[in-house]
Amino acid sequence: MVTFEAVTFGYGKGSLFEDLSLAIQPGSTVGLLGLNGAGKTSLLKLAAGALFPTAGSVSVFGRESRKRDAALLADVCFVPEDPWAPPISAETWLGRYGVFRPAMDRGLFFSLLEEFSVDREKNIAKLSYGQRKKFAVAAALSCGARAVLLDEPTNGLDIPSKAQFRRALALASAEDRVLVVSTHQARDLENLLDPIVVIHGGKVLCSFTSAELAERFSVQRLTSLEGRPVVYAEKDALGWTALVAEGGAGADLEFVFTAAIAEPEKFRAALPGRALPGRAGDMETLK
Amino acid sequence: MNVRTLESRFSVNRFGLIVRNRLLDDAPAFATTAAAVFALSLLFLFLRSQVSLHGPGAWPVLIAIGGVLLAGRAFERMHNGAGGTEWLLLPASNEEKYVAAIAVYFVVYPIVATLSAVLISALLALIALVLGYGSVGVWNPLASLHPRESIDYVLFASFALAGSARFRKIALIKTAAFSIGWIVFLGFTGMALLYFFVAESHEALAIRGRFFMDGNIDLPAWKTSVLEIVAAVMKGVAFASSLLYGYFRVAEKEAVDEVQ
Repeated sequence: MVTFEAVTFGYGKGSLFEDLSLAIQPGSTVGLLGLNGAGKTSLLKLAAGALFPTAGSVSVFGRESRKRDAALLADVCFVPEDPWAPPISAETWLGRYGVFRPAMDRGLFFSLLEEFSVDREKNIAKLSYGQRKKFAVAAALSCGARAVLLDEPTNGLDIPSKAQFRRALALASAEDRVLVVSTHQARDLENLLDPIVVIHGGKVLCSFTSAELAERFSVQRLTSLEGRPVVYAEKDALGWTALVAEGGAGADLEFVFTAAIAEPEKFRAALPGRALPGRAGDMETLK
Repeated sequence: MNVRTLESRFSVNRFGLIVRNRLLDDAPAFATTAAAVFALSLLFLFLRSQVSLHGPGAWPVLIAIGGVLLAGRAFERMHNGAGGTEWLLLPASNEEKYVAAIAVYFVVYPIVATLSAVLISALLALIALVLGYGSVGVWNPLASLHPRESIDYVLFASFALAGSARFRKIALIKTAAFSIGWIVFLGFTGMALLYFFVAESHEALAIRGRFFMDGNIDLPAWKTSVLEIVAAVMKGVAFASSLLYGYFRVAEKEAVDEVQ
């Protein structure tokens, strides 16, 4: 379980999060969505122990991230948007750095490299950006950590690689594992991310599962908004594209995200029975 | 490594792996420097028919400079974007990472560098003999081992480690500037205290006029002993505070140098 308890954090004098609370249960592949600068990467780094909150606490499976002890670090794996590229081969990397993770599955690591078409003997620093990213994802998914935090994993991947990544992510999800994926490219991973957390204005703006999304929202083409439970609509030459608070027709995740950011109160109102997340004392628990 | 060792704050196994990785990271720079020293010595041998580094103290000084330079970049990667994040999140405790750096630059490096120097000096001696430049001795490190110089090396290396943990760029130059500033400040403060509280210093200044140049004052033996103890304590305090400062910089380091 990854828990943020009343976390306040910022860079310099500015505050990025104020009193943010969130709990992510094992067995989920959480999609973290937010505008540029909303703090998605910072949230992942706080969980990994690469950043420290100014107030509150962050823990992963009961261990405080701030302490950065070996057991915590072996149980968390953070892959940055632009991963580190050491001037050694993947095989050498395994001998030098993979050995710090006792639960590392070497067989899975090499299988994933093969699946991603990454040459295990080639110098990682000389790989392309996409190849380096695939190496880092392969390492993360095979390292045995129960909390895997991926920052924009599909950025820079070509279309076949995105499909390979989706397969690998689906294989890596497990009942005792937390996968958190921060992304701007929600469509790439739409069918895998469940639940979705939207970060906005230093808070968890809202969160919802794919079942809730299908049950309560649909994106529809409308000629008029009159009499419809419209959450958010965009006008074009032929009428409206609207997010409507009624299920059935399916909802595109990127459109839902835009709606949640533009009309947060209406969006929340369409998710009845959920505590408003991010307020002092509230804890949004995701399963 | 097994799962149980993860629970311990300090694992000898992880510590050993970090030491090994540090040595592997430093090996290219070390090998290049050793090769350059060997090549320059060989050139000197051909040009001047002498083995250049056989003067007393030349090897120890070279080894000490190399050690301080390496210690000055011990935590360079920690400050460096994604590489820094990776380093901070490597599954090992802050203590293991820091003590491994101390072990490498205070113990392992001096031993490896000394053995390498003996090897280079032996090779040079052999080449000199073969080329008919006469017999030159192989450098004997035990004859050059002086506790005071060794302590000074450890002290400077501890400054360099602390500076490397503190500064992101040109850490060694910034550390040197900072240290020199402090040494000058403490030196003048010490001299001023001597001048005001030790009567002999007035005489030394009046007679020789070189008090501030070398501090060579004819003090009674007990006062000299007191000054030596004060100097030793100051070195000890500087050493301990450098190490502690460096450790806390590492333990509190956050990955803030890349995309947020």
